[in-house]
Amino acid sequence: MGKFIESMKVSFKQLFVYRWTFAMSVLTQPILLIVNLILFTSIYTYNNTTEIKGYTLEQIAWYSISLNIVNAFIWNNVAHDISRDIVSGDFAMHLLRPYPFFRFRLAESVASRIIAQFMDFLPGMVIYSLILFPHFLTPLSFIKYVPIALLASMVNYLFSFILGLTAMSLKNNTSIIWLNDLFIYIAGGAIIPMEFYPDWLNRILDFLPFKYIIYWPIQFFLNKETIRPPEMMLRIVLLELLWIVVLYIIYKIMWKTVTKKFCSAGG
Amino acid sequence: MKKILRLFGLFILNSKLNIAKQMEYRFNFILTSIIALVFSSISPLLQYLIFTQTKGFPGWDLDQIILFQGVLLIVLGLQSLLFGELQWFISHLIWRGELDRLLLKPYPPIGIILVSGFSLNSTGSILAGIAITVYSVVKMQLGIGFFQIALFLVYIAVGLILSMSLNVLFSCMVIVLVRLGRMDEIFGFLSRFGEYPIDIYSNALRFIFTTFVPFAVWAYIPSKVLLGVLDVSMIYSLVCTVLFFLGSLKLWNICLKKYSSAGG
Amino acid sequence: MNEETSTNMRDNETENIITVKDLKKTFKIHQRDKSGLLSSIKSLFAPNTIYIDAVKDINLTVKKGEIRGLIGPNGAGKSTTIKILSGILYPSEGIVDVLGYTPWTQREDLVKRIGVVLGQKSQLWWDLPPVDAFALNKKMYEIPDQLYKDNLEYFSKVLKIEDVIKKPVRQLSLGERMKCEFVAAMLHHPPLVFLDEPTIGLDMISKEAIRTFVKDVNRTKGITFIVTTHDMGDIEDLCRNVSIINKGTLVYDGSIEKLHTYFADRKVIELKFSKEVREEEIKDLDAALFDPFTAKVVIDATKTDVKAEIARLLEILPVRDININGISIEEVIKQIYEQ
Repeated sequence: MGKFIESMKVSFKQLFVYRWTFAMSVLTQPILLIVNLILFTSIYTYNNTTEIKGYTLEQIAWYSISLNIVNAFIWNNVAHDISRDIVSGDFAMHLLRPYPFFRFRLAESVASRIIAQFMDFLPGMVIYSLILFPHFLTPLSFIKYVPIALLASMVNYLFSFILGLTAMSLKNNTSIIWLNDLFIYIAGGAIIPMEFYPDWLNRILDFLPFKYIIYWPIQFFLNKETIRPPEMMLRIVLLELLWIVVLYIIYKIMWKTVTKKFCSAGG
Repeated sequence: MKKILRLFGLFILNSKLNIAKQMEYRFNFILTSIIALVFSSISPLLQYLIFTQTKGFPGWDLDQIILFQGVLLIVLGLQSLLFGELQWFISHLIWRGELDRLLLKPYPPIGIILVSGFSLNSTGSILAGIAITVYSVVKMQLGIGFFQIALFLVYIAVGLILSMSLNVLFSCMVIVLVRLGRMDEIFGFLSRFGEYPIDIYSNALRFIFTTFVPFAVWAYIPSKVLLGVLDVSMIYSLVCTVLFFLGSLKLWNICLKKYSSAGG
Repeated sequence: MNEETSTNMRDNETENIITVKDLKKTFKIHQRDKSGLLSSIKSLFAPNTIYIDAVKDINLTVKKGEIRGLIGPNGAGKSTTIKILSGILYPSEGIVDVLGYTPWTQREDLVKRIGVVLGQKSQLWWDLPPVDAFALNKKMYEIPDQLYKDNLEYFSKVLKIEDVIKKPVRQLSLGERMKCEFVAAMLHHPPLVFLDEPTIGLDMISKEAIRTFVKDVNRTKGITFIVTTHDMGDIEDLCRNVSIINKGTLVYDGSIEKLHTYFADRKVIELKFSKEVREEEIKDLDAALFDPFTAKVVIDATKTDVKAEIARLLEILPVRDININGISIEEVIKQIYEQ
């Protein structure tokens, strides 16, 4: 616990150093919301409809912004940090430390996400709501969103951790970051609502973890019609748990081979 | 004029060096190219998807909107081919406090900045864009004559002048604010207005995007040219783009003057 | 610079390559008292502006063919001066003539005729061999093919970097890199070259090579150099004249020899003892340096009789060896900085 608080303090200080960046992001994201609002108002008006693919105008305009909301829960820098450590050889340093690496990085991520609630989520919500009030949001829907997002953050943590470890064989760290973005943004539905994807693609992506990292939390946040039945929530929670188990097993296996390889290679 | 030719020569050489630099890390290059193609296809893809699953956009049918997406890919690809590294270049100059170095070269600093952005990553987008455009033209059996092609190329060039102006504005912001934050994102978001046919906007916005901020010259007007629809507002957009560019240069000179009297 | 004086200057046997008159530069700085979030917001609306005179009143001339040292402590106004001379910065007041140009209004014409080496910054491309960066400069400065070839051949031979220039920069040592920076800055054959800390971080051998190169080029090609540095070795080895800037003003402008005489009336006496000496024994000597077996004493010849003082020292202390020197250049400059 002490270590946890320590790492949180450091994260806080770092964020304070970058308060300019923070201020900028509070100002930039609303622009995205405004752009989307204008675009989709035009499209909805021309089509003379209130709903496209189950999204109301409000929901679709909020879609890209929701990524920020969800990121306040799920984002981590683990893939980047681990791959960098492996490529630079600093990884050996971590292995020498007297506490499990997995938990150390997890504590770091959790700390940074708690801070993100205050730095990204709260100010973001206030400003976005002033531009376009989220009528779709209810207290109940938000309460349902929280556990989904928490589990999603665990899935994402495990996935990023595994991706970071692949630096061992890829030997390159920038390409890993791009791969991470590619998976999350395209396969996770962070940019385009996945209802617009062709059916066959959706069916394939159902069998991959990315939907559970981004898409489903966004659906719950937007309080879409489709996720309102209680059994739907139960299904997503179970699938998220399943992915956590699967990814944890993969992590365990990979961790063993990577540390063995790293120690025998001599760092 | 002579100075512009010299800058062009500089651009060619710079581009060669940029290619050589990228070839030093070949695997990275291939991967970035693929990912760049994926990311630049997002906007065209989204529009295609929206289009096929709704009534579409006013004044466009499916074949036409595919043509539009082809042209858009070409434009986005060319933008990143010519100016892809530019924002990185200027930001790094500022971070490392090396803007002074540009002032030691016998050219206008903004000229050097504008010729330093070449990036090969987007070749895929350009090729895909050309393929889609040619396919659409053939499929719709559009009568394309020499005049159309010439006009098309003129507007592609005008579109690049607009991109150049936006990059100049970006550079202005960077040297004034120094700390960048997420400025690049703001420009990215705003540019999205140019990625849709302007017919979808309200009258006021349509007016703005053909005049003050002439996003229409990016993909809208070139597509209209290929579709054989010409109207007088195209000329306004051309004139406005040139004025926009001159205005951005003026602003740059003011910012640079401020920089060189404030000192770094 | 009016017409008359500039013609006069050209009539002179050794013409002035740089003339600076009454140069002033004032910076406006927005100051923030505290670093908190609140005060940074406050300063956004009510900025606390203060004015700083980075350069107060500098008059300076540099003759063609000189190697001029420009020294001063950090923040003294050296780099501001250099930036104004090279056209990067606008001055607040004053007249500057560099190679017949006013730097800030005729920047593009001027920079074609000057070279700049910045010890802390590079104009080479990290992933590419130096020759590629040279080729870029050839284009940029429109260097004719023959001149480019000759210069490149000459410089790389003198600096012994014929092979080095074909390797990617990231594989080069710091010394090799610095040599390449010199080539890049001088390919267009500028009559005037600014060197800003050209030997920083280099080992003795590389320093030596760089200094020899500068002297060679200065002698054979008549190129004028302006050197700013904190390394007194550079100054003593290269320059005949130095200008010392402190707190924005020129505190010394003249030859190194004269600088030596600046404190000629001070002598440094170094003593070595044959047996251990306790501190109390020499406390009235005001030793600059002391350990049980050695001491260093500075005496002012105008106040004390040197002969008598030495006699006294020999008498009261177990002196094994004695050395009497003039004050070193480094010491002199330190004294000037502290004035």
